[in-house]
Amino acid sequence: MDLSLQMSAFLASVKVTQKKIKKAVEALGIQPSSNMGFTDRRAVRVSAVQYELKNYGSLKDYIFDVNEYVEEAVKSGAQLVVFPEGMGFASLSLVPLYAKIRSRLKGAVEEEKAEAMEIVSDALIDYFYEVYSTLFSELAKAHRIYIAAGSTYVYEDNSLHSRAFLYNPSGEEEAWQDKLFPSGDELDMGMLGGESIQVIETPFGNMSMLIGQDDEYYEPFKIASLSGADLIAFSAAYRGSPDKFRSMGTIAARAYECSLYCIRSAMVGRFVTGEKLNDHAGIYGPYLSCKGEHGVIAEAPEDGKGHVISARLDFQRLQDSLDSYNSQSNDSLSAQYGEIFNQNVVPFPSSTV
Amino acid sequence: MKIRAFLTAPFSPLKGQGYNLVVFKNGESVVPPDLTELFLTSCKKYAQKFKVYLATCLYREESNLCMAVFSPKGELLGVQRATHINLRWIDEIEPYDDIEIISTPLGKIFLAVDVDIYHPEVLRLAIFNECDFIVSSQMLPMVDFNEDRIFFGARSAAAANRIYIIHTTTYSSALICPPELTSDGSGFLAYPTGKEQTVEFDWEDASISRRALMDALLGSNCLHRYRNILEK
Repeated sequence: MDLSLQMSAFLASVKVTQKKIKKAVEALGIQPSSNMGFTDRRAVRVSAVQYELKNYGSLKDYIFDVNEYVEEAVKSGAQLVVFPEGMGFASLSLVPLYAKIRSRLKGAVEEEKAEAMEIVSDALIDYFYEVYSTLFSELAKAHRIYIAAGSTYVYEDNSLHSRAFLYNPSGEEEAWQDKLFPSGDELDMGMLGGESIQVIETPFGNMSMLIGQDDEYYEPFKIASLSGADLIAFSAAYRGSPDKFRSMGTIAARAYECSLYCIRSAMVGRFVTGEKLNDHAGIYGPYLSCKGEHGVIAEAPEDGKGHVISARLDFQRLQDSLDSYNSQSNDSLSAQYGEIFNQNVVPFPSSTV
Repeated sequence: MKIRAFLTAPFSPLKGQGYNLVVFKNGESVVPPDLTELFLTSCKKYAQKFKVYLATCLYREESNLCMAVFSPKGELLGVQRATHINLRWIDEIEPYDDIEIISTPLGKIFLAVDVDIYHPEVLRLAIFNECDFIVSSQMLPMVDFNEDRIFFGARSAAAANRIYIIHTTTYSSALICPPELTSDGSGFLAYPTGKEQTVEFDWEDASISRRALMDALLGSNCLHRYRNILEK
């Protein structure tokens, strides 16, 4: 491993500790909310965070900024707040020698950016996880709400995973979900896609978490829906060019097809590699059960700035407002489709000697 | 394979040259069972007269809702019956249990009959059966005709399955493709219009990305575990 990265990782572990994070959260003087005091599946309050990436001068600044999003959500009554994909990396600018890391990543030619990012995340993966898990656990506990904290990279069984965690109002790690369809860059980094989809029971209803490119596939949403989920906490950090149709063609379409509410967080600003993140957060539902057009319940402005959007959802409506166009099922045909996956799938082609 | 298609009301004379496919939009109602025989004979003659492949609008055959493709020689190349039914018609029409990809020199065509376009597993089955493009025909009453019906049906299906779809209703026709193949990202190569229109495309433009999609699905670590759920 690169010596400067090794040093950086070591110094980060000294500079940012669990104790310091807990102390900084405590110093915010957060009053616990009563948002979870009354739960009813006909009135579930949710918030999606459009998180703006920033270069933070200190741990205190970082924690203050993240808490601002949570606080705004809590004020709107949120029982669940959803953060974006890659939230684990948001603390990168706190790492000693950050300027050196940034110029290395920005300076890498396009085809070497993924490799450079892999080296950085390899070196700092434990730091990222510790900051992420401690901070969101503390914030969930302090505000007494559920936080779907977005994703961070973890190593498990010698494999890299992009994993989203859900923290409950006691600050416990209630559940986690691996990204099912890693991006091309992530596959190049050796990331393994998740093997299952968790449906999590909460006092306000059942939910699942999905990440990133998972919204390009209807199957995970259908599986979640058929397994009892009412809501998907979807963590996104779209890195493509601006696309005003993207949400309608992906997450809103999944909400319609699978009769689910989808809370889509987003990340904006400039990624450490120099890429501009063009995205916006939104809350979507099957369009017949939404008052707005195109299945949109609420959407953040596409202004490249941080926002929190909130909505009250009625899970009962998912069952009550059947669309005659897509509600009939054909078991025999579905069985044929299921058969496609009736095989021992090898995740990656292995070369034969 | 390049397709030059004319999307028009049933039996409108074909003007101009170079067409290899005609797609009939629906009339005010589905062709009823007592007119089916005459309708199919007329379709056959139309295909022969204009020497084109013809994808029909919706028609009833006994208790099924159908679409068909004819060759320029008037041969009936294939029929697809609706595998899902609009709940409003559930007492009159029975769903069919299989899909058929129709092989033609223009490519392998899947006919998405009426509300089948809203059922992702049907379109997935079609692409796993190697169809090259889809012709979708919907019966949408005016009260339900809105852009969301097209966006969450054919447009979503084209994007999710990375495939070209010729989409028709009583009131519109359009050519839809994977959004990345359109300059405005809309996915509409020809926007929905009530007028008859000519559309051109080469379905091979979407083939590679569709292959990548299918590989991603088959290579997924999770989907085979949920076979029983995907069968629901």
